[in-house]
Amino acid sequence: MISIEWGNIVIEIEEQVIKVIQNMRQDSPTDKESGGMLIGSILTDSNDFVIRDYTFPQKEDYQSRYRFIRREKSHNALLQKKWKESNNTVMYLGEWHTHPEMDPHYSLQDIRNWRRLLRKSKTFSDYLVFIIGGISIYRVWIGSRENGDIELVYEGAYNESNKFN
Amino acid sequence: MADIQKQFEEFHDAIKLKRFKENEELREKRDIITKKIKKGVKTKFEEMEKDVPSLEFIDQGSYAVDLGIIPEDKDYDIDEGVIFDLYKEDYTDSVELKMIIRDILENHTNTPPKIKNPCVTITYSLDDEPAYHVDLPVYIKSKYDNNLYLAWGKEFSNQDNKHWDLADPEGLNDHIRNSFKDDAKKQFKRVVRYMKKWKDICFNSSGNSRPPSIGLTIAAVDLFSYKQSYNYLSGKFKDDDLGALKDLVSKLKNKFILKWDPDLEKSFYTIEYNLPVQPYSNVFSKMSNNQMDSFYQKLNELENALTEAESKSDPHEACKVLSPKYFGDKFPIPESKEARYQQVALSSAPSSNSAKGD
Repeated sequence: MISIEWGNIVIEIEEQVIKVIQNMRQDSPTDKESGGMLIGSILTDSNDFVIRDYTFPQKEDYQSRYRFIRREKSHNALLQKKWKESNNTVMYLGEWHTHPEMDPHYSLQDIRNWRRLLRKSKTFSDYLVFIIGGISIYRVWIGSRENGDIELVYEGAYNESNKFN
Repeated sequence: MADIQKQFEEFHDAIKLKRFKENEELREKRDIITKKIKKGVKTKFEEMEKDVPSLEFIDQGSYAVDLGIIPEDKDYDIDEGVIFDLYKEDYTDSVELKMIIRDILENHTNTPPKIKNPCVTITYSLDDEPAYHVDLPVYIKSKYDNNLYLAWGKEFSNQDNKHWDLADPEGLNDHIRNSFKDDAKKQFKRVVRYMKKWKDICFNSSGNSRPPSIGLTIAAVDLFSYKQSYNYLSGKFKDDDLGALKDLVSKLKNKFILKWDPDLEKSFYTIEYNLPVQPYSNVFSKMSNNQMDSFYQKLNELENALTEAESKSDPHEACKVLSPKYFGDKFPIPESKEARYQQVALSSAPSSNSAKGD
């Protein structure tokens, strides 16, 4: 689990979320972009939140080397299912996708997309989290749904020693 | 897979018995008794107009090897060996010296001392409840070798049941103390204490239905292996007590053999484990076939519970499998994951369109 302190809140990202991004990173020349929703919960005793689930590419989605389009319907249906299974405790908390570069940066298209998601998503949280998974590292941004500001908050290396898991 | 290492370590802190070094009260009790024995032996031998033998004392049992747990019934148990610098060839009656010890401590406590087969037992009471007992095994030397011999027998036993038995209390302490090092040793101690607590919780305390602690300890010295788990995000290893305990339980289970009992016309799982030092006797010899079989079944249940706990993703669920059924209520159960989270209305998001750009 990684833990990011940001202002007066803490955002935790559970291991399995980073792991799915690591598994889908585009480390071979034919790998396509992948992505999905970030799903999580807000703690009862603070405003801290935990990213603890995700969706990954569905068959309706569009995937190519440099583009990923996540469709609305199938992912919202998954989100609803997870919400019910969690006793109504999980919600939409952002978006992840991969880039075919070692050290990932957002594109103009990415930032426009994130701003639209901040405006148009319907969720309890005031913030959304965006992760881009590069080949050697991943980066995490936080966006405010109140004012649309987006800030880089974390970068992490995947650990290669998976044989112990 | 739930990570409940923190809960295991909290549980360990709650059941661990401090060593003599850290436990002044018990240390004082021990020192009062050893002083009294030294003085009393001097007086007795002078009265008998014999040379006063020198005495040595040896800490034994779980205190000596730092594997004690706080007893369920609050009846603390101290084992302190008394070694007389005398020769067994001069003391054909093995109970004679035990009677001297008994007489010395006769009025030391409200409950009179008792001569048992392997030792003299002193019982301290608190409000008429036993609060401590001190077991004093008595040893003697031989003219012909460097071994110690344990005084076996009760006051009115017939001659066949009184004898000097070859023993190596120091060797046993060393065997256990020197078995592991550093972090492996720390985990070994924790895992032995988990097994002892499990024994207290899951076995009837009457007679020999419980496997003896020394048996569990000797088996653990032989079978334990240090386990860590790897966290791929932090890139660090950390101790995995659940894994180590499960591994030990499963190896111990495999030491049982199925034996046919012709009298009862039934098969039983039985186990033998020999002391690693003199007299190399089977530490489970007092258990009947039925008791050993039930020991096996209980190990099997414990192994299943540990496997189930390991498979749960929520630490709350994992700990609920183990506590209180297998380890008692000292094993903590963290709050359920779901209870930590606010309930919210159904959320949704529009489609998402990302691109690496040009």
